[in-house]
Amino acid sequence: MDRTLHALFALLRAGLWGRGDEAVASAFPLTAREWERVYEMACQQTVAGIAFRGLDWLPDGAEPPMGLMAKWMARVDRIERGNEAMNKAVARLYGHFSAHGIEAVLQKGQGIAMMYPDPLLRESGDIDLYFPGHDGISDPLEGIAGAVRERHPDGSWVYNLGGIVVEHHEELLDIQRPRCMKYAEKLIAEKGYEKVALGNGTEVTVPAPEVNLLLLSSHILKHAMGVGIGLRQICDYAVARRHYEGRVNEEEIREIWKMTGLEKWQGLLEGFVETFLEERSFADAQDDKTDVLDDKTDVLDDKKDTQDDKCHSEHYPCHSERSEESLDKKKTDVLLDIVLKGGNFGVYSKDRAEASRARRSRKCHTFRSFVNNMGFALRYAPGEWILTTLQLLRGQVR
Amino acid sequence: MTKMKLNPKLKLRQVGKKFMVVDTDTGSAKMTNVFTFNASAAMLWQRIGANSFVPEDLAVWLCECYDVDMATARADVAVLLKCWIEGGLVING
Repeated sequence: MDRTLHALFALLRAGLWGRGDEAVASAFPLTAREWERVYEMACQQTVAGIAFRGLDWLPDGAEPPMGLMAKWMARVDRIERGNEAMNKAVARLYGHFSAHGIEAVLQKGQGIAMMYPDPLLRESGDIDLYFPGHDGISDPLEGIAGAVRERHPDGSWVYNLGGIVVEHHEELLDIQRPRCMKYAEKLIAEKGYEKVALGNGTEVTVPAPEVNLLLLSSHILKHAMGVGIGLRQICDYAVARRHYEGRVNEEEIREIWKMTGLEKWQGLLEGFVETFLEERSFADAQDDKTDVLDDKTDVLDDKKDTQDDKCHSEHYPCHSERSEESLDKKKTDVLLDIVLKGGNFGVYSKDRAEASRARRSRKCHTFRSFVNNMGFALRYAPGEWILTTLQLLRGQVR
Repeated sequence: MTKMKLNPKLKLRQVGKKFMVVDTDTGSAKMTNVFTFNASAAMLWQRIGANSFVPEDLAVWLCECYDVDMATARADVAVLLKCWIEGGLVING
């Protein structure tokens, strides 16, 4: 693996779990040019805030150059302010819906941010909402000033609320196969939703843990099959997995993957999290050192002495029974390639950049992306790919 | 005595063992707007917060936190504030 990518993952692990590991020490120092590349990748993957938190665990003297540090701090400040604005917008929307007796379910976003050690450092995207039992999806928009709606190919309504993009979705989950959908609907009916409080005290409704994990996984899959997926979305899954530890029954979770046809995909996703984002054992870090850093100065410092309980594989209970997919690093690299190519929902992919901003071009780009990723999709979720592509085709002519 | 306040555009952050103050208001931080603090300067910055202060306040806080006499603290604060004023870190409050 490229040195800078290795360093970025080391920072992310430290930022996500609030502690450095051996790999953090072994991945640094970097040259000024390498640091620029790490920062650039972190921005493209919308994980600059999480990686910034990881800087706390760098060995002495291995910090980024002062100029880059300042640029990074300015970006982190913007991320924090963006999150504060996002939390205010969520509060405003929930106030509106609550006044009209409408139950709104917050999908992903700020509902996942509150699971992070420092929620304000997770880069926010848009606000995704689902309205259980509401057939007329545009109804909840009534009364929101300045909400000019646009319909997306997947049927969702999108509008801008004071600079923040809000999406109203027809479905809670990104699952297409009828049999799997039926199962998912039963699961939602059984598990339902729960209330959580955001950092500003706003009480929001989010899916129950089992449903939320299914939502995150199927959402990542949908984007991996299409326009691309970024590290932040996968960090979200890893953080939620950890957050729900002890609250979900692992047997039941495995059954959910099986019944929704996502078992194979899930093996890949868990394998990716385990390989790149999970806290590292000492042995893993040593492997990294041998593989990647053969020409490096040894910078292991006294932090090494503080890492006295290094093995944390128990945080992912699936490990004891992980599938063959997750054990095959080359297969995990399939997902890594998609992540590196696309970044945040494909925003940084070359194809996307070349697509014009026109609505029709965007639609065509989305459809083309699904076709381009056919090989990956047919291997990991053939049914989902075929039906999602068909749904998009229907959306193109809408 | 003239009261002062910290420049509200500036933010103190700790990264590892380092304390840095950066002007984050412009959107893109410039090297000229980066200040590195030691732990005692960071302590004073955090203690001031959004409040107005006079040099004597800082000297008292230094005496409270460190084993230093008032005369030394006053002299150290004078040096520190000269740097802060020149760098635009404080404004009239």
